[in-house]
Amino acid sequence: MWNITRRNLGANKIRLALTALAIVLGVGFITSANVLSDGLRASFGSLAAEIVQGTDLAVSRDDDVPLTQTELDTINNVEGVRIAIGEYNTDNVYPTRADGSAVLPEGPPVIANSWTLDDQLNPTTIETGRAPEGPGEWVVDMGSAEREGFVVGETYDIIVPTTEGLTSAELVGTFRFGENNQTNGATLLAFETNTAKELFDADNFGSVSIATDGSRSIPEVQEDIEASLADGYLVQDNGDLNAETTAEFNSFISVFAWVLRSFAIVALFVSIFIIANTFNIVMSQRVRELGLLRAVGATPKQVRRAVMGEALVVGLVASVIGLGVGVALAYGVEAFLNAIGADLPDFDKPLTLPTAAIGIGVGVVVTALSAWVPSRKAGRIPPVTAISGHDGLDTQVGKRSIVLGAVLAVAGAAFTGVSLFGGIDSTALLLGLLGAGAAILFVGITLLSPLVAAPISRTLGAPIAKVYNRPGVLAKENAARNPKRTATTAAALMIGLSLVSMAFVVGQTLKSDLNELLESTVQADYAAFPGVDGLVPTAVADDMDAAPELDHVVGVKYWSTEVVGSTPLAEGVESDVEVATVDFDRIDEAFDLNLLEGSYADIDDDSLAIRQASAEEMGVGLGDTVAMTLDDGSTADMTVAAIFKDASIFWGVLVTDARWNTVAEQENYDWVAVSAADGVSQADADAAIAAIGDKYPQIVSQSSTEYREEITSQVDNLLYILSGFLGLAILIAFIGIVNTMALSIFERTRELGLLRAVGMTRSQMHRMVRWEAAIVSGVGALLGAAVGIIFGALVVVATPEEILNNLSIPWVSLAVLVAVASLAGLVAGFMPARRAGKLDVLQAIAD
Amino acid sequence: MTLLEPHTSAPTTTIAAYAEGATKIYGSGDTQVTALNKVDVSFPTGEFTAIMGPSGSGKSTLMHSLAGLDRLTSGRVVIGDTDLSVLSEKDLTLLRRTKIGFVFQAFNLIPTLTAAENISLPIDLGKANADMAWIDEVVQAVGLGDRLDHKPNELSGGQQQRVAVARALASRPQVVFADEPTGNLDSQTGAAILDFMKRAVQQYQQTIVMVTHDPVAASYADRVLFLADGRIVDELRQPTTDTILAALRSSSNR
Repeated sequence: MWNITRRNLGANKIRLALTALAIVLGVGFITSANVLSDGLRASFGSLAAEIVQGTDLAVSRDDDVPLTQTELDTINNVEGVRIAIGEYNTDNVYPTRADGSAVLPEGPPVIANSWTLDDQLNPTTIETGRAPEGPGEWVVDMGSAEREGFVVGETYDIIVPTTEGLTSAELVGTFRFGENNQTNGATLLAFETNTAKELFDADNFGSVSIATDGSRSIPEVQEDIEASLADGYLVQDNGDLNAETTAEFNSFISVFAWVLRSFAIVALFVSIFIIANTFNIVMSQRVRELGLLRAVGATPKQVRRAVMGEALVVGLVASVIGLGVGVALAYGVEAFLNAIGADLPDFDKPLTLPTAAIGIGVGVVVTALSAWVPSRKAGRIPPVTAISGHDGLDTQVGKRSIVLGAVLAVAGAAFTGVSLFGGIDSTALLLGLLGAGAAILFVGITLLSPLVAAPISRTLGAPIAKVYNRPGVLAKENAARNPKRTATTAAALMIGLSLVSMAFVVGQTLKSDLNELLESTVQADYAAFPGVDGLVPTAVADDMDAAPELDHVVGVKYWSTEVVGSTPLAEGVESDVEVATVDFDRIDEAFDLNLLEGSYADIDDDSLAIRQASAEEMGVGLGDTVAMTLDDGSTADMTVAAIFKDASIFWGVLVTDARWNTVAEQENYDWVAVSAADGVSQADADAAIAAIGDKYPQIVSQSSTEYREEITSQVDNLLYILSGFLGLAILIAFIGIVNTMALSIFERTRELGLLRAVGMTRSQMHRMVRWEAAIVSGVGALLGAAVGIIFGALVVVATPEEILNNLSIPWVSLAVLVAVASLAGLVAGFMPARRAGKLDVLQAIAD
Repeated sequence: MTLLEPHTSAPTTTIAAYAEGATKIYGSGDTQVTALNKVDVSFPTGEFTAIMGPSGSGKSTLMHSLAGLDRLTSGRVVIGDTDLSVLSEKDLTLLRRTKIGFVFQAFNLIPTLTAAENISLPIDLGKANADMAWIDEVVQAVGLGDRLDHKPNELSGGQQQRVAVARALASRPQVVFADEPTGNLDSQTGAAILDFMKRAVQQYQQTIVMVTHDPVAASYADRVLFLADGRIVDELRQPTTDTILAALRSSSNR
């Protein structure tokens, strides 16, 4: 039988290539996810090693509270410690270029450190100029200096997290990080220690690094340091540090890789339908040959094995090619991510043994799964078909598959329902259940969809039949003639498009909810935000207050702490809520929070305003008391003096500024709301806002409409990226359509020959085949949009009201999506149409 | 029997189609096969011609060349006043649509179209207005009645062939070419089809060229051409089954 498998493979190269293509792409994508994560891991791993190089030991506290000078002194007194240095570091300091624009972490980070005086502990060396020695001086890494045009000796504005927001300092030198200044795109700057402390607004050390003097072994010193400090301190050696730093990078990389992998899984899932469909069609076309095998004495098992063997060889070859494509794709994904602003560093893209094994394994398993049902069918072909040529394989929709489809659809829906509404805590379990449920549901829907494939094809085809007359009618009828084939072919597109449609529905709901809330809540004309991570300096609010064109300046600060009401919360549920502060005398000038009970005027340092939903969760009402945990660990009893509804800008409780200062140590604002002063024209107010924006490059000021547009455009961008990744699944779906059409053409050779003989021109035949492909695509697109809307609605219902509330369906976008996907079928039909047109009429008839 | 009725139409001298020096050579060198060897033949309008000959005699090649499905190596074929040898692929297709009708041995109908739609297919493929009165007449002649709205797989083999003949007549073609139209039918059903074709010749002045190896089928024709080794070797007018068998015997003895 092996011989027959081999012969068949050789005999049908095009068919084979088309089948393999789906696997190649699926394996390619999963491989590229692994290649990318391996590459990024290696790149960041070497970065981690350079960062901690030279540090023998490091001390931090279990609870991440920064260390103080007292602890540093204690450590310095331990025998064997040559030097222990406390470092300040922050990612909230950014230099501005000569033109006044800021170097912001819009991709790779900007990290500021205190200059480490000890050569062993300092991972950097001065390249030009000198080290910073006092206030008003800074240094930067040589790569960033060159990239951003910083010149030693010049003075630059530096954005700092103090209340002033800006300082000015002279660049006194550049340094080299590690051996090659490999910073992976990050900008590194440093200040003299005391200057850093002041500018970084830091009271305590971010970390303490220790160099030993070599008189004792490092573990001995480590033990003594541990003994010299109280409980709750963590002393790590170089290996621990390296591992920790690497692990931090890795957790980020692994999230990224799993996002990529999940898209690859969708693509592979879609491939299963394509490949299964191809094998099914091929089986029915080879029925005579398989019947002959049975007639000359092959057992059903041997036939099954021959088919399965063929599939496995295809799977194996395609997977190997997929590995190569995967590496190429890794470069493509890198370019794509960089194009959308990820700004990744250069890194190797290694094809490791595990990556190769996973790729080949997945490809072969997926192919084997796909060929399973077709091979069973092949085994059932009776020997008599060798003579009759009738395939005995039903093209009609069987009762069994409908029942099975219904059962799977219900089971899948149940799985999905449990995962969405079941209140499952574990994210992994939830996602797993959701994914499995969706997969089962999709299989169920696919088995059921032949019931509607023919009517939908005829409905979609009706206008085409009107326009193109007989070729149109034939396109329509050809799409409808084998509902099972049309449905399975369309299934792949249905899955891809349903996911995109679902995202569209959820995204649209999110956008409209947010817009509605913001519009009703925020009364202010403008909002000033930190452009990147960080805060809005109080100096900005002061400048706004001082500007005659502007008024109603209200700064907002957020923190979060534990607030406990009368109802004990379920175990494991986060009891931290958002604590915000605003000036209650001015709150009405900027916001309408939809105050339900009480009044802002009643709020003093021992009372608060609370969001309705939070109050309900805590089981408190107006006049009740909640316990709020303060910065020093003690709790304060706070009376509920007001209850509000808003859930767009305030999510927890609101307290006075004095009370807030006992909860958090933050003087600057998270953002500032401001309006035009009475009687000032919008143009004048805009100009005043722009002037402040020029002065403080770290903030972004927007009008309320700009702000709302920005939020909706962020949602849109997310949707585009998502659609881009799902595009692979959709591409595979179209390959499936090309495949089915090509095979159908092959099957209908005589019919096409007859059409040509009685006078169908080539272009009419092209049209007929292309529109058939478009109708099949249309069936998939329509079903996909319908399923996507249902999924989207379920997600909206399952998500808490505050995040997704009023279901909003983007009919226009979905209609465009369906139309574009259907018309893309015309493109998919191009190659099969050409083949049909090239058909030798005489041969086709003689066949 | 209709078969024995005399011609109802006046004798005519116009030529519906002819071939001059028709030569078709397949392959080259040692494997070269001459399928047609300088055949001159003409088909007067309103005549039913049968072409007979053993397999490999070139009868199918001759028919395919006449019908614009295959191109000659040399010589020419003229349908009406159109020389096929100078036509482009597209014009040839349009010519087949409007000037030529086909009936094949099997697989004559498009499975997704109804019987009625199959009949009007060549007309529907074009933009020209159909001669509805004529189509109606042809459809009536098929005698399918209420089965006209059925798909081919719901019709018997005989019914399918009748639909095929009607389709071939629908565009009032210059010539109808039939390739073993009764080859797949039992003799009784076959006779009905041949009657139907003969009636079309007699009543509508239709020209029909039929390739067959069945002497009974050939006996329905006005004349029989015998092909052997790519040449016309004999011709019979007003044949009967017996004269055909005799001619076949003598040609195979030659």
